[in-house]
Amino acid sequence: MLSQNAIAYLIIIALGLPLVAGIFGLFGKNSKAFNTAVGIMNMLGAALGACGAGAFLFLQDRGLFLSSSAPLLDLARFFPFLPSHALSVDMLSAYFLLIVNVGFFLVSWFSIFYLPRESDRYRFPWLHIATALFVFGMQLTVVSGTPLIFLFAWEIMSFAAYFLVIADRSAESVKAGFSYAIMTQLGAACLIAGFALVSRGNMNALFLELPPVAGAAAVAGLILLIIGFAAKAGIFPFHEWLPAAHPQAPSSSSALMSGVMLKVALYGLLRVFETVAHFTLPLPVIFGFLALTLFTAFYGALMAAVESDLKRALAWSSVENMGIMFSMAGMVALFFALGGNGAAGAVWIALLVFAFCHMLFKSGLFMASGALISETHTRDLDLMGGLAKKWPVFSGMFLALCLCAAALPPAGTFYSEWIFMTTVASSIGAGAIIGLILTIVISVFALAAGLAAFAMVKIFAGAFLAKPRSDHAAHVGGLPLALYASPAVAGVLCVALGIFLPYFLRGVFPSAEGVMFSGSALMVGGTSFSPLTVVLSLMAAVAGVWILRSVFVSRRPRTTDTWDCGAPLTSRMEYTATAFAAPPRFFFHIFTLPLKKIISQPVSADNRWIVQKKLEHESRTIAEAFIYRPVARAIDGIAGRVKRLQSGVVQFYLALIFVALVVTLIVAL
Amino acid sequence: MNMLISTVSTVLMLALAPLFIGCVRKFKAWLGNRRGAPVITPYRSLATLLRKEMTISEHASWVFRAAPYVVLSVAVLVAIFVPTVFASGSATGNLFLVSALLMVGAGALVMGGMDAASAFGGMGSSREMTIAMLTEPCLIVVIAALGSVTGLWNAGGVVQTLASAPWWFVHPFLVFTFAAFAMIVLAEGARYPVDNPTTHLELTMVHEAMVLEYSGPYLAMLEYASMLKFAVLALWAANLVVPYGILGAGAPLLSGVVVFVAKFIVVAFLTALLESMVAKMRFYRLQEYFTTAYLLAFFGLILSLIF
Repeated sequence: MLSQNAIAYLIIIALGLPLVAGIFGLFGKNSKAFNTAVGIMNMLGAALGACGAGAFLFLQDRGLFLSSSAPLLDLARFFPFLPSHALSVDMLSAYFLLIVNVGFFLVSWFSIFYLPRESDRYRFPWLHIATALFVFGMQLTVVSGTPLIFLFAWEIMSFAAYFLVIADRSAESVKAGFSYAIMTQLGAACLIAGFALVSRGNMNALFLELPPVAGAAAVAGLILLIIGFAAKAGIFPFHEWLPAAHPQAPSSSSALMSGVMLKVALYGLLRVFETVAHFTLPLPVIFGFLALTLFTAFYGALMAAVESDLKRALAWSSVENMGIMFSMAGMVALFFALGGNGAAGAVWIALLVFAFCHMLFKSGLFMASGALISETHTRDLDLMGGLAKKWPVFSGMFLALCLCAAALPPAGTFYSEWIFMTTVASSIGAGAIIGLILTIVISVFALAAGLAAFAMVKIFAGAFLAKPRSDHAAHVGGLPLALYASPAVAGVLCVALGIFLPYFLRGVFPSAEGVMFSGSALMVGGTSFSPLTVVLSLMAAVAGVWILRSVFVSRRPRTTDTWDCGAPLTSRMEYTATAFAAPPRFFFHIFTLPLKKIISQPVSADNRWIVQKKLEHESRTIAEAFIYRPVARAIDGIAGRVKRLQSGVVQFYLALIFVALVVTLIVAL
Repeated sequence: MNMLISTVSTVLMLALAPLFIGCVRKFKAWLGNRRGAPVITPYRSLATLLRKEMTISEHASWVFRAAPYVVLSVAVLVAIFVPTVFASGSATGNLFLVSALLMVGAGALVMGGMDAASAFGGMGSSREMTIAMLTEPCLIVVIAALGSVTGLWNAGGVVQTLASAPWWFVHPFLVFTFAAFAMIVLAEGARYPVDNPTTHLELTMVHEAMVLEYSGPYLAMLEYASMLKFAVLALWAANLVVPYGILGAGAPLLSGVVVFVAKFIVVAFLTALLESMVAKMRFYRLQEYFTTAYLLAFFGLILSLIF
């Protein structure tokens, strides 16, 4: 049994070690040996942190939600200059600390072997120090006990992430980094204002001791806080930067950003919901929040389904997943508002399980696609294909990760959504209006689930199946085993988390409300269901079918051509990822806003029938077309009016200052 | 005892699925004033396929070989979980699991269809995945309605509970849910108006285009899985609409068997009748079909709750 002190030491070492590693990495130029050393130090720190957080979670019996009786682990007592509990670990922090550290462990392992392959694109010292600050910021955010430390850590994380986005210094990255920086600073401004409002100006107060949210100012603060976290998590309409910025970072950093940083944004939201708001949000706020997050889930899944750039599609899928997790958080608040504590507990568990799984499969997918892209030299799914034949094991692993992302059994995400769906559907009878809202929640979730499955099948089929559609894809070399060890572990963990979910939950939340465990079975809303039995019956069915086939048929298959109607088959005849996604692009065209232009230019002057035709196809996004551009135009317009004041006459400016002073005095006095 | 009856009824369903398709074809022929092939023809064609040599495209990878196993296993699992001959009230057959399994099967089939690098396979796969993507939400909303009305989340228990009182009296608005469910069954079963199971024109194919590159035993497995899935889902729908007389819901053995045979024939006939009356929809108009199903399911859920 680890003592409190031992756990605290482990977590403090995990906070510090990445910084040491990052500074050490500054001296190494692009050397492979230095990169390995930094990676091993990071892995060590992450492993210690994961052990500490895991020990805190598993060894002590705590309630599902934070209550005043739950003992905290005070880290601040090791730092005499900090007030007591300014850095502290509770149930929620420990859970997210575990997520951050497991994710960081996997990514550090991967970057040892991945970064040397990209040594001509990136400067390693830059990456190492930015990664170190980034991870330090994330861990500090999670263990911070006061709004001030939280904001400080949050800003470290946000700034470091900017340098990861622009790491390859290409024009596209700088543009993406710019939009990221603007959005994240707007979000941070909202957070600062929000915390100032809910803490009544005392930013040094402990989260636990913040006054209860009451009055219009505090509710406004709460809304600002929600907007701040939503901007970081890519919730519509603050999502536009995410699919631009995440893919531009090196794949190992994309894995950290999508897999881990988004969880920190989620942590911030949950911290505010749980500790600051005590889940007592006004109903209109909950409804507005649910509407936006549900739309995000649907819209992210749709864009992931129609996007042909591998990493952008994964980033859109992260938008969808964040929409799902945020709407689960909204449902927790709604159930508390309705007095359904059991249902709230069940959704809370579903949310935490989903967060863990999302870290695993999304960082796994980004790492795997990094390995893939380093061989195919393109992010475009339309230029890949045929890789399943070259890399059977790698493709199997990628498929398993896609299965997790599509929330299909036996992955942990499926059980998370199962708990959520069953809980919500069982609570529908609570009343007509609430029933209507819950019905809408279920319907939108179901629609997003279908689209997500489509997106994942398209990604896998586009990258791995059929014939290669480019020279690079046709001549890929072998992938070293070391490159896919880490994503493979992520996939295995995500599936194992599903199969052994009851055991995991019993270890972490022994006294959970709403979800019960008996043996290998989960019980939700009066129905029980064993993930282990599901996976065993699936395996038994496949084995049975295989045995039957081998009994009845023993002839060996003959290898032939694909049927080609008599003309030689080329890869240009295949369905590409873009072609595959044509039906959803058409069916949902009011959301995808495709612009298709056929431009014909006459080639010869005397025959107008001989023309050269060009097809241009581009997608705008609804946020850009209906929100960002109108807002920009309005600001431009106002600025144009204000410009007329700039006459260049000093006396006029002095008069303006005088008027402003008088008005201020009148208002203030 | 339940275990035994459940096993026997699953085996019965596995054995009868091709006969069901044979019956549909026979009725369809009669309705078109033709004599039609014998009802056992599907068995013969499956046996022929099993005997034939199998050819596999040189472009295909392990995905192509794995797909038939997954597709057939999923169909068999659905046949075990879903009440066809017998409604078991046990915990197996969770409704959400059934819908997720159908998605797994669709995904496997789609990947198998893409893998051989044929243009037709890709076309069929893209269409099938779109259909699966649009079917899943409808199915989940239908499930939510069935589950919240009966308070149970396993397929057998829902049928047992519906049998205990006349549903059209207690929950009359389930009729919308059932209408949506029937539309889902037609889509999942690759039948009219979503797909044409007998087409010879590649451009109109969905399911047939995906399995174009399969031959011999693998084709037999995929065809059988498709037959099994449709038969099971269709009889499940019949058991939901007419939950009476089913074994396991208080009916004696003899009447249970009689009712099953009657449902078997009536459902096959209704399918044939529908297929003789409607034309296949243009693929790009399917959004109307699925929007209708989605809205019906949605209204079924809402109205069942309110009233």
